[in-house]
Amino acid sequence: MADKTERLFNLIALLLNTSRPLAPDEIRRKIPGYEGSDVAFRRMFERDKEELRELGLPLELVGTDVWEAEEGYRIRQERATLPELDLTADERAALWLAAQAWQGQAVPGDPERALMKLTLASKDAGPEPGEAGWMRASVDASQPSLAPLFDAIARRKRVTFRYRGRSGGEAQERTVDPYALRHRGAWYLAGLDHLRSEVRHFKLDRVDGKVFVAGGREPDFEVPPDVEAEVPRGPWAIESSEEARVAFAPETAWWVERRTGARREGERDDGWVEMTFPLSDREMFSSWILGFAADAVVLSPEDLRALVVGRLRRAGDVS
Amino acid sequence: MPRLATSPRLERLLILVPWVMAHPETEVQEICARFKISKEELVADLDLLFMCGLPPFGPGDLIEAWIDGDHVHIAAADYLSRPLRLTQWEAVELLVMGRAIASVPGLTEADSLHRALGKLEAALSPEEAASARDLAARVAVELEGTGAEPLLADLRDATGGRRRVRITYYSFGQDEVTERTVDPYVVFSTLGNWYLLGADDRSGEDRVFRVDRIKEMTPTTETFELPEDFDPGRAAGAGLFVPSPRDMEVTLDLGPGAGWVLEVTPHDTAEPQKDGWTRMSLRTPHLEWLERLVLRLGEDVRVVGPIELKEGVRTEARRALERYAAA
Repeated sequence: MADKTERLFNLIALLLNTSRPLAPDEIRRKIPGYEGSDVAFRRMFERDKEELRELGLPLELVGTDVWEAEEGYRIRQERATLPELDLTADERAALWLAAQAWQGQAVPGDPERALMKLTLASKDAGPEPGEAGWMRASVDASQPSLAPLFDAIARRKRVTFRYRGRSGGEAQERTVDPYALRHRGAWYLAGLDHLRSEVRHFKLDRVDGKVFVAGGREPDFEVPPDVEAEVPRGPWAIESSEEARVAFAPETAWWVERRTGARREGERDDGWVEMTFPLSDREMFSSWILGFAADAVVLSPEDLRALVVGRLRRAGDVS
Repeated sequence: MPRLATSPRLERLLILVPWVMAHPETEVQEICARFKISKEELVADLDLLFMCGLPPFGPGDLIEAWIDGDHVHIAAADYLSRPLRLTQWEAVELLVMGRAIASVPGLTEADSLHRALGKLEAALSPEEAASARDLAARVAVELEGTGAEPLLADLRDATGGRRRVRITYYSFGQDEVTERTVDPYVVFSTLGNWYLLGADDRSGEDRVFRVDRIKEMTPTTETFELPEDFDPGRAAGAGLFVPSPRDMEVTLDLGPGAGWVLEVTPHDTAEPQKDGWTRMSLRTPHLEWLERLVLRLGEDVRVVGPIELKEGVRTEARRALERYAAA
């Protein structure tokens, strides 16, 4: 029995090279590897056709005679291969920056191979982009959950996975309608969480084990048009009607402004700068402020100030 | 669609054939490097190709594929002389990352990138282009918005032009704004921030600086040479930890609420403990940033060592309390 890769390669060669559509029985006689029973052949051939489609090969089913009584398959070369492209060397170098930024093999396409195809199809083939350059963007694409999530987002299929919350603990099973993936320092999935019946963000680092994609071909859901897929940048960026007022030391204030986009509300004589932020989750916000140690002081509200002072007392062994 | 069902080897063969036919002069070693395979794997691929071709698979129907001295010979596969179209996900991944990079301010490559992405979309069928655009809108990578934006354009010029720079750098947690002269080797983004790797005159070492903490930067008139064996890809991939002779060993026990620390902190080991906590050990020449991390984590962290870190946390907390008493 021929190896599967060999069988598929021969099938592609045959279908690319044929001048007329080939009926399944004819294909079966010509390609080594389809020797089993009728049932086994039909099942195998269905799977093979699916793989060809996944490779991006436009498999056509057309009538083999003028009466179209019988049907056969072919792949037209002009539709299967890339047209001649006029990508210049600088355009290819720019694409190379994008291709190499995907660090890891867990995404469903191989961007570097895609770039090879594009370069081969380019009129002025020239040298392939090299290692030069002043910058590297890199996005971790090594998480095994990425490929099933890409697939589920594309086909709008429900997913199930085990998830640990930010506070850790036992992982819980979650069922989610996956709407979007966002990378901001880490990967986040935005989707409708069936446990809480609301749109939530899931950090893929906290997915425990495999992501299961629901079976069947039909989409499981529609993506609502106004879905909020943005991941808040930090505790200072979560919308709220309440405000916290914080003073920052002069050597820190410029950086807080640059990082958070917050505007200075006032500057004191000693150079300390006061800023306001929306305040929602008090625990998260106070942790963020505590990370500035003696360079930030909460001015209001009073309960947030008390929370921070209490935590400082414990850390400082002050009774 | 996912690569799950498809054989990566088949995908490789389908590009290996047209690539080798278009580059008959390429040496075996370079082909292996380009396709990220060993010579044994290449030989196995060629052996497999040699069994493939067109029915009835007579001598004239089979693909010619073998190693010929330093080169690879592939012929009699004219039906595969052109590269296949991009798969949906190949197109989407280039679009997603291309857009992310093109939106980074200060990038002179942005124009080329926009043109290239336009040509890439034009090479897809209208349905493929529409579906790729739809998916690219739902998978997004953000490289901007980190606070590094005001500096990237100048850094690009300095790094590209091998020009030494003066920087005012804010070492977070060290209450220290320092003036340094740096030879900027490469700029990279990882874990949601932009970093500069360069030779630092102050420490005499190669150091990684967070770009958003560079308060000011001025190019000097001096130029520098990159170290001979410098590989920007490898240097950027090595990440944030640069070993230093002044490194101290630090051990922290992280509680259930502090799991995220492992995700963002370069560390040597992380061992789960019986009580559900995790013991993390790392090396660093500075304790100040850890004092702040410990303050931030509160009840979710226990300092195992060194003793200087425990004392530092206490001192920092008391200094902060004095500020509260005053304000």
